[in-house]
Amino acid sequence: MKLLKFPLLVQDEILDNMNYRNLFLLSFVSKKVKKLIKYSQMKRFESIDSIRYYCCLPDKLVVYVYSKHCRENVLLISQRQKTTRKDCFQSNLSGKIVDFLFPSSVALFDPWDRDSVFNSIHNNFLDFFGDSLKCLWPTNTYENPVPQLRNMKACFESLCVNEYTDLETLNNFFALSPAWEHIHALFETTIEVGPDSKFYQAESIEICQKESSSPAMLLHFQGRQAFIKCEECEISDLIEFVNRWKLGEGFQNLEYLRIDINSGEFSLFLHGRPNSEILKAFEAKHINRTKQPPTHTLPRVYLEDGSPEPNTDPITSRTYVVRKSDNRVASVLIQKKTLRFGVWDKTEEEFLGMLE
Amino acid sequence: MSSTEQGTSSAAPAEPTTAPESAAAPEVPESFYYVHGKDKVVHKVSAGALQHSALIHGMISNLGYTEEQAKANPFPFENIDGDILQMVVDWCNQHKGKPTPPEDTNLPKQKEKLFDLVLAVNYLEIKELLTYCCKQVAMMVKGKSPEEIREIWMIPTDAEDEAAEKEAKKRAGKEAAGETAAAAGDAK
Repeated sequence: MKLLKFPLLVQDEILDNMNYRNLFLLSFVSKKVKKLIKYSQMKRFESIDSIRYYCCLPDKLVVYVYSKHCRENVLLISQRQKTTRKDCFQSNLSGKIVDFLFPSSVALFDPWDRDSVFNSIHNNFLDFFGDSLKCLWPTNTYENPVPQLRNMKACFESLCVNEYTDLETLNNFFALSPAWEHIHALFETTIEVGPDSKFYQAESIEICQKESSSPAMLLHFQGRQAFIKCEECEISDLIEFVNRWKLGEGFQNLEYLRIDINSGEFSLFLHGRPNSEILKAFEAKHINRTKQPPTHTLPRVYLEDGSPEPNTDPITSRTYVVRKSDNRVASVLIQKKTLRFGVWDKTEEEFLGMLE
Repeated sequence: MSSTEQGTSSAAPAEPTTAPESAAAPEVPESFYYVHGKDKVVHKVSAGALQHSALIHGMISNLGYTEEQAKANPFPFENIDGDILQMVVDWCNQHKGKPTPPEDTNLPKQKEKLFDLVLAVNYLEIKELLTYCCKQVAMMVKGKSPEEIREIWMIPTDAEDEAAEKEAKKRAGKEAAGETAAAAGDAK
């Protein structure tokens, strides 16, 4: 049976019925076949959300393809051991010979050659699945920086900062790693990451702050989506955050911010006095009661495994503020101990045009 | 000589093979058509079963043949082996008027038979059967190493591809040179 003798339509149908892992294996058979797969499966590859490298053990890395409907393990990258089989399949990946064990799909590296092997495999993935593919490296430790590879962004899925944390190592880790897609952090201490850290540049951040009186995130965040839980928060810091956004003095990329405040001034304030006083301090604008305000919601930048909610909380609010520099609107909703702030990619005129 | 005559004279059965009727008999009399493959054995198939094939369905939809005319003019599929056409006819009869199941386990296991079946089904444009066949072809290499895949699907190595390309270029060059020489001869 000669695959290449089938009509193109049949070849497409056969390849459509193969999973990513088997397509990846097939791509090693010949350059011609690799080209055929890339051409035939272009649409399918475009629907891939990301490739993720999970460092399960210090000497092992599992590569997954994430798409809307599935998560598939395509390759294990493992350090060669004395007991490792010798009958490797060798492949030339952009000039670098890499050893593979098939059919278990394991790429091997030697400790002195780790980075170079990662780089070759990674470039091969981009060449195969698409140059613009988003690549993520989720990690749970800050001992070794995430490698700087093409299109690679790092994710910290559970960073815990407490009194034992070596802040210098942590700051170095952020400095040496690539840009951050998402950070999920728990701060059990008043220690804060330096204001210039890449930490604040993460596209999405989810933090729980137990000690500080106001989260530094409200001052330094430069990313798109922030989910903050804190014990306390000064009202003045919230007002300053909104006013700085309005003046275009920060938060240029912000799309969504949610802050849940457990106790302290904010909750007392809310229980003691009406929200309208805070909104007055923002100089918030209001939508007429006869109109139905639009609902703000966005796909979350990063979904952790098992995350049930793919979108940000919907914000339906009659209150909004406008950024002076570009006339962009943000809906503001204060409910109980939560402030939600959703930025629209619309001018005030366009925003008001959406009212029903 | 018509294809029917060829079919009845050279093929073993004197009468066309009749496909098994489906359990639910249609209320109106069903029309039948006739097809034959490379072996000229004629198969009688109902229009309902042939609906699976977009190619044949398209061919018969405007013919308006009477039973006699249909019998006298079987559709010839000279590029399809007799046993493969038999498999296709059987499948069409088994799935006549029924929703197709998500999987079909009755497909041939032998590589070459499956290869021929895929080509025939693709030619006859039987979408569901093509999907089953392609799934089965894809399953053949599941969990196999690149070397095993190369062997199963007979894929040439890069070196073989390069050599074939060089050879093709050489041949094309020779042909072009021959044509130029012939043209020069004609001009003289």
